[in-house]
Amino acid sequence: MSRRHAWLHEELGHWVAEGLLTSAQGERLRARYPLESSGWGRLALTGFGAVLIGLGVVLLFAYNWAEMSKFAKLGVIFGALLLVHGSGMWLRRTPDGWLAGEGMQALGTMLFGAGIWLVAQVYHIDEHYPNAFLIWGLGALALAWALPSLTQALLAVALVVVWQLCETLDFQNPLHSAPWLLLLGVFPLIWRLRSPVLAGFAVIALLLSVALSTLVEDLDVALPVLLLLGSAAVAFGQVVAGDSPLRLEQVSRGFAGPGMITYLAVLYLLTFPELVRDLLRHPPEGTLAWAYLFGTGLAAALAWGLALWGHRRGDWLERLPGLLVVAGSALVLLVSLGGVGHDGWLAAVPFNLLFLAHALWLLLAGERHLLARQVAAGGLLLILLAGARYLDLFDSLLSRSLVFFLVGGALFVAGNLYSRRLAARGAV
Amino acid sequence: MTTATVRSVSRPWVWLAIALQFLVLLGMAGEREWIVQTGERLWLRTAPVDPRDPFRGDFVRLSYEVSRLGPRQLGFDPQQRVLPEGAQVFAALERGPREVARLRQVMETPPESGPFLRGRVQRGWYPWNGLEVKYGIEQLFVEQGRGQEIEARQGERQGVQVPLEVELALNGRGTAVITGHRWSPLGIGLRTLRRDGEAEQSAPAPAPGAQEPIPLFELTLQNVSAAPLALVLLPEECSFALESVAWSPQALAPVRSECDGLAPAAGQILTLAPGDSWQRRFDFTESRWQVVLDDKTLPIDRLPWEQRFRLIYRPPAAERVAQPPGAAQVWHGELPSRAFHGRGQID
Repeated sequence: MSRRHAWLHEELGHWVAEGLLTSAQGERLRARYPLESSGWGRLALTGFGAVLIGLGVVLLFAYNWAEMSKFAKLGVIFGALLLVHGSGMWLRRTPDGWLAGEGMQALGTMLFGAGIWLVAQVYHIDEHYPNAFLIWGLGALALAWALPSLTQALLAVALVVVWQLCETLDFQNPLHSAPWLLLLGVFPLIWRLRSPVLAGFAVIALLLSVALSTLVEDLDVALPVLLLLGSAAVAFGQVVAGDSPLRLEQVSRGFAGPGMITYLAVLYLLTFPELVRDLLRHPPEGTLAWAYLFGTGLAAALAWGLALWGHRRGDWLERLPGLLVVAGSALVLLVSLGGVGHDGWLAAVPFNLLFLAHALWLLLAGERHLLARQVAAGGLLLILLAGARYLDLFDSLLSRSLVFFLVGGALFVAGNLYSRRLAARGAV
Repeated sequence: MTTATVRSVSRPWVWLAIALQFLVLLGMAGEREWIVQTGERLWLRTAPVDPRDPFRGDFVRLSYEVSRLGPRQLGFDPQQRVLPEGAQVFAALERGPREVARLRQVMETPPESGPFLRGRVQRGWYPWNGLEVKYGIEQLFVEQGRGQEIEARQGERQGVQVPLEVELALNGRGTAVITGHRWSPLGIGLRTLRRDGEAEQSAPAPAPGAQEPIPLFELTLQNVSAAPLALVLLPEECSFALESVAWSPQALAPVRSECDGLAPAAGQILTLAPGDSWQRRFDFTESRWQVVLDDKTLPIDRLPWEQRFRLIYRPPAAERVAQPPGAAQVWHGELPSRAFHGRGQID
């Protein structure tokens, strides 16, 4: 919004100079569309600054000066922690000092992490090192709830992800507790902070966390589970976009964006018959694999139930993507539970058709509402699908040339329709 | 957002969250400092390598003699009782010469007496039916740049190696904190030689199908300290013991009754100036080094490949070295070589 306001303010100057508007009218328009500085931008700068200073402190202590006694090192870190958190609390007393206070306390949490590593260094502690990231993350999460603070919440999300990455990559530990920590510890904070940024980060972290857990637990269920979770996130985004009692409409995109990208990415992978055959040949083995599949399937079903109920009177074109995602989720659940056997194409054909339908919907809806990004996204999906099938479906040059003709033709028509509608709107 | 956030700050909860961060750090540091101040002290011998931790700078990764355990060192049958990764075990220790601890046994419950370390199983150690155990003391943090110094001082596999000994403080629950480290004043090296005296590495490979000749083993002991140091060199090589490594299937050792109760006479104590070294060639085909396996007396080169040994410099106890000249400078520790097989392969 503020970018548009900035453009308007710049243009207003020219319009007044050219006599299109009087200065009084210009001032009234400026007053109606004020230039608001972005709180998020300042917060991001302060937060990043705090994180970088904190990392600097960690590395400074990593030098491990032999001349400095252990009590001096501990004194420095405890003193710095007290000073920084105390300053943060003092600065937060006034609205003007809030941002600086937020930055100070982010630095405090970074120093807390530095302290964990420093104490381990001083006493040569060689415990299971990912635990340090967990403890650090819990410290950030506690402050995120107590303040409440977006910076601390983002730090907590990042540290939980690092914790799981270390456990998974270094110890092949699926760490099933990490997704629950995000769900129970961070997601309620989205409601409290009403932050689309936190929503986006938390959803991406949850998707990554579940992906890591399922990859270690049972590779075969990873893709279906991710698709279902992405689908659930899309549905939840739609639920809160309306007049939901949760009053989370501003965070809707944070859920729906990463959810849709994940859903489409997995759906695209499932259009490959070899992959479908290799991953979904048999029903999953092991209780946890079933639990992941049922859990995410249930979450998607509930979320879509609510979403479709809320939009039951909408335009069919508006409701179509939701219905397509529901169809994709139901199909992946069905195929995962039953297993496709040796014929990958049997399941890959409906996945291909669904992906094609998504691409065409994006083209149509984008053209209808004159949304260039949506048209471009639809075109991209169409090209990706055509490229994939070009490689594994068509052997003869004639068939391959036909693919290019069809896709090129569809894109040409879509672009043409979009331009005409744009021109028509300009004429009106 | 700012006004609403300022208003919604709940100070008691914020202070509680900040206090939690302090308490975590205080708890970590306090527990370890308490052990340092009040714990029982002993030393453990290590074999270091040198990595770097991005968060904590240089450290020396330590592998102890109690880290890799053979089935004979376990107080349970590892084939009957498979411990999962992360299972808690207790390493019962006893004090050896120079307060350097030796392993008595690793068990699932704490020993009733004596110092012990609490560790966690890292993984089963195949094919030896052993265990790899971590005690939380496997990293020694040093100032940046000193890790490589330590590695250099430790020496190379082909030359003389100097063991690093780590001082520990132990509490009654088996938690250990590293409180210091020192270098063994005596370094040890082992290499194989052809029977004509040429180093094995420079010898041509035997023709295909030909029986490889059994090599000689040359042991080097070097005074790597800054002060003179004396070795006790008993006749019949009685200052040296041959022992199976912990992970060998059987505990085999030659019976050396000729060495029982032997004390050094004049001329059997050799003083090494700082930097000086002493060398001896051992021929393990000699009858004095033969071992008994399944009622058969065999030279160690005839044993299966998994039967590895260490040659250990072990001078007589201090009370038996009281009289001869130079006795005051005698080093009373024991020093094991690297593991090897009788046919010449050195680990």
